Parts: sequence; structure tokens; C-alpha cells
Amino acid sequence: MFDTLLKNLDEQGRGVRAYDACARTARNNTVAHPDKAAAFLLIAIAAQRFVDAYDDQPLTVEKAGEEFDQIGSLITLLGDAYATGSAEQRIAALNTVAARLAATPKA
Amino acid sequence: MFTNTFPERAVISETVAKMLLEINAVHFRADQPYTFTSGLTSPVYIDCRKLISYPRIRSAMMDFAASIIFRNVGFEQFDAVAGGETAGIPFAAWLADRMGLPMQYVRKKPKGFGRDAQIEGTLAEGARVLLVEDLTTDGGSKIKFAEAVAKTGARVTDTFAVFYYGIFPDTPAKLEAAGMRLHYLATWRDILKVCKEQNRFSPEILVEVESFLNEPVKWSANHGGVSSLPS
Repeated sequence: MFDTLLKNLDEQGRGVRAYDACARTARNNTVAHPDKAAAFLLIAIAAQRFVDAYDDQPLTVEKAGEEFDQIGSLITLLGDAYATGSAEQRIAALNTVAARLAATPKA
Repeated sequence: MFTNTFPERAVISETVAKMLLEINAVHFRADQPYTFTSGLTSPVYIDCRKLISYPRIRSAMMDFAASIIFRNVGFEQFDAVAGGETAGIPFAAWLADRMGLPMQYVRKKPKGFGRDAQIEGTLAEGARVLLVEDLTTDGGSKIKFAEAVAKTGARVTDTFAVFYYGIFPDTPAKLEAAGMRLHYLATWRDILKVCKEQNRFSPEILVEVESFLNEPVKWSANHGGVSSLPS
């Protein structure tokens, strides 16, 4: 479920519009999938940060690749925890992603 | 206010291209291309926001803008000039001053709290609005801004950008379908022409730029970007 967001980001070209669509989908999914709301909200925050950072700023292909890898690692971490992990592992994944987002300079 | 001089279109485009090159607002990179908002990769990038720091250049450009709009549309066809957040705001302010009209600005999205305003400034119902941004690529942001204006009962009839990419042939028609006529000062073709005349940049990079301008989607696909644009 989470990896579909990442796949769409990649297929849509890793540009601002792709991240905007990702943020909107993730935000909508917090309502549609309340059992995964925290994870979707964190993904929405990460995608929205990209939009805010690059909407009117130059984005090189190299930087787009780095950003994609970063959000990819967050989404994969959450996806793995929700696919096979225990409740404690899911909370640990959520905390890890939240801490990473908090540590990343805000756009 | 406007100086009421009406230079030829070709002179305006050439002069604006020279101005943008003079202040290093034009960037060409084929080895490390840029990713547009649409996901298209491109060897070109232009930073029109730099213009705000050059008063002689920005003043001339706003005179050019007023001359094009008055000549193409008329002198009494607008009630307001609205700037699109963020880069369109200063240009809208200067152009509103030239045209003797009220000014507003339009946020990309409502604030989400308080008044939840998307439009700042007073805009009367039925007002005919000129929407201003620094750039036009595929016109997507202009359509969103115009939709926000329409919610107030006003109507964007025309849109002006300092620079129009001119690489997507359907952009003017797309804007027309949304009720707007597009006006601009210069395109990438004007920049490329001046670059060739003045021997700016290497011949190799200019070949890449021309290749992109001729077939942007193909260039993008060959450089790791999207191979089609969303309709």
C-alpha cells in the first residue's frame, strides 16, 4: 500500500507535481485507512516538504534523485513495519520516521 | 504610470532576452539537467526573480509589458491586476502601477485557518482581472490561480508573464479554453537567438538547448525524465 505511493512518485517523474499528488493521496488515506493514519500522515508531511522546498526553486536531476531516495527509505521502513511487524515495531518505525523528519532542515 | 511608448514586438523580445542574459538569469546545463514540476528533464532554467534587484531593467520590462497589453487588449479592459504567489507579486505591483489599476495577490492555496483567504486585497464581483506571474511553462499554475479568482465572482480574462517557455504548442489554447489570453515578453527562442549572435555559452550546449526546445519530451526521455506529459 505504501509502496504504491513511491511507485507513483517515480512514474510521474519525481517532480513537484508528483510529490503534490503523493501528499494529497497520503492525506486522504489517513481517513480511508484509519489504522494506518499515523504512517500516511508522516508520508504526507514528507511529500509536502518537497513541494514547499522546490515549487519555485531549481531542482536538478541529481537532487531529485537524492530526495527520492530519502522519501523512499522512509516509506520502505513504514511499509515493512506495517506488513510484518508487531505493534511495537510499527510504533518504533513511526518514531524513527518522525525523528528523521524532525532532524531534517525544514523547507 | 505608463510612458505611452509602443516598441515593436521583435525589439521588445530581443531586448528582454539581452536583459535576462546580462543579469545571469539564464542557466544551461545538459550534463546535470533540471527537473521541472511536471517531471520533464530540461537543460534550461531561468530565474526571473533576479529581475526585482535591477530597477532599470525591471522598469523597462514593465513599460514593455504595459505596451503589449494595452496594444493587444485595450486601455480600459481591466479592473484589477492580480499577482500569483510568490514570484508574480512584485511584477503585478509594478504593472498595476503602470496601468493605474488596483492590485491583489493570489495564494497557491488558502491559508487553512483564520479567514482562510486565498486572495489578498479587495476584488469586486465581476471585475476583469489581469493575472501576472513571472513565468509560463504549461499554464497549469495560471489555471489554478484563475479558478481561485473566479470563486470571488471576478474573472481572469488575460494573463501576463515576463517569460514564456514556448515549448508546449498547446499552452495558449489550453489557457484560452480556461478563458485567458496569454501575453509575454520573450521566449527561449529569443534567448537562443541572442546567445548565438553574441557567442554566449558553448556551441555544444546551444545544440543541446535547441534540441530540447525542438522536442522537449524526447529530450526529457533521453535524459532520465518523463517520456510523456499528463494531459
